[in-house]
Amino acid sequence: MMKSAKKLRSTRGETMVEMLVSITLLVLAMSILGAMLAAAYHSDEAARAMDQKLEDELSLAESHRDSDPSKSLNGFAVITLDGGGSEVRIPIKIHGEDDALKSYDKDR
Amino acid sequence: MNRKVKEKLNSKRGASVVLALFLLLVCTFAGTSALTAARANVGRYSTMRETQQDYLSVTSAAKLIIADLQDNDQNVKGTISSGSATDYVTYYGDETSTFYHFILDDIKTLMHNKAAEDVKSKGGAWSSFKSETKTFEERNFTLKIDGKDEFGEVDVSFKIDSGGSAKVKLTCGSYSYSFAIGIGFIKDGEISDSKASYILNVSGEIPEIRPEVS
Repeated sequence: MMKSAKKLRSTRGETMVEMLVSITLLVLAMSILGAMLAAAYHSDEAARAMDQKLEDELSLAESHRDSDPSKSLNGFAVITLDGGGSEVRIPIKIHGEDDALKSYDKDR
Repeated sequence: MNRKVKEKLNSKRGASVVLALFLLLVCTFAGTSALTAARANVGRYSTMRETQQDYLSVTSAAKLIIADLQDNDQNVKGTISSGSATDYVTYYGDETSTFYHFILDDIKTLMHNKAAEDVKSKGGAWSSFKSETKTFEERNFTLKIDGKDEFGEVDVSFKIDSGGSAKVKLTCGSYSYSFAIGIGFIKDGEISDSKASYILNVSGEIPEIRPEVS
């Protein structure tokens, strides 16, 4: 008990170098954690934005609507009988923005 | 008090460096975990995009096939007045530009079977030409959009059954989708004991549900 009290009153401690190294390591640890959490937050935000964009594109494509009807494309669906080689070409209208999800329906 | 404790109390060496190193390890681990989880979400996006495009390719193909069949069913007409020939069922239009190009023979058989039933009920004796033994083949197709690689290739299997319906299954990538089409015949004039005329009537709707990933 007496020894412990003596230890508490002791003025002996760690060297300055040890303290500086410890503080540096602590700062480094906090910086790494902060940077990683910030990066994770930004990634999460980006993922949410992409999810929302995908959902919007899907809704637009599913409803066969175009945000700009003048940009809708025409094309052909080619149906080929397996093995037989015979095919039919049905005219279609393609819906969806450039680089977005796309759908199509029959061009009537 | 033993010697080791005594030494420890007298020691000038501290534990702060060890603790700091431990904290650094914990922070790195926690940060890496958070970052990995967030990055995995971003990586999932490209896979989701592909599967959603497959889904759109499949449903678009399904709607196209139904629309093509329904738009052109009135072009399939038949007047059947003998018990053996199937040539009296005709496609009025350009058959080679519709899905009927592939399935008209099966529809002719169905129409003849229908005529056999109806004429028999009027006292006719055509039951002999009803094709009880006809096996309707499953036909397999590939549907592609000309010059548009963003739409995946859709595999279509189409099978008519003798009960007057067709089972259609479409597959693109991980999506698979099945639905049924009703094949009926509308009377085109009076049916007698020696003659029956019909116009094809196709019914069917795509269920408005997103198919499961198989």
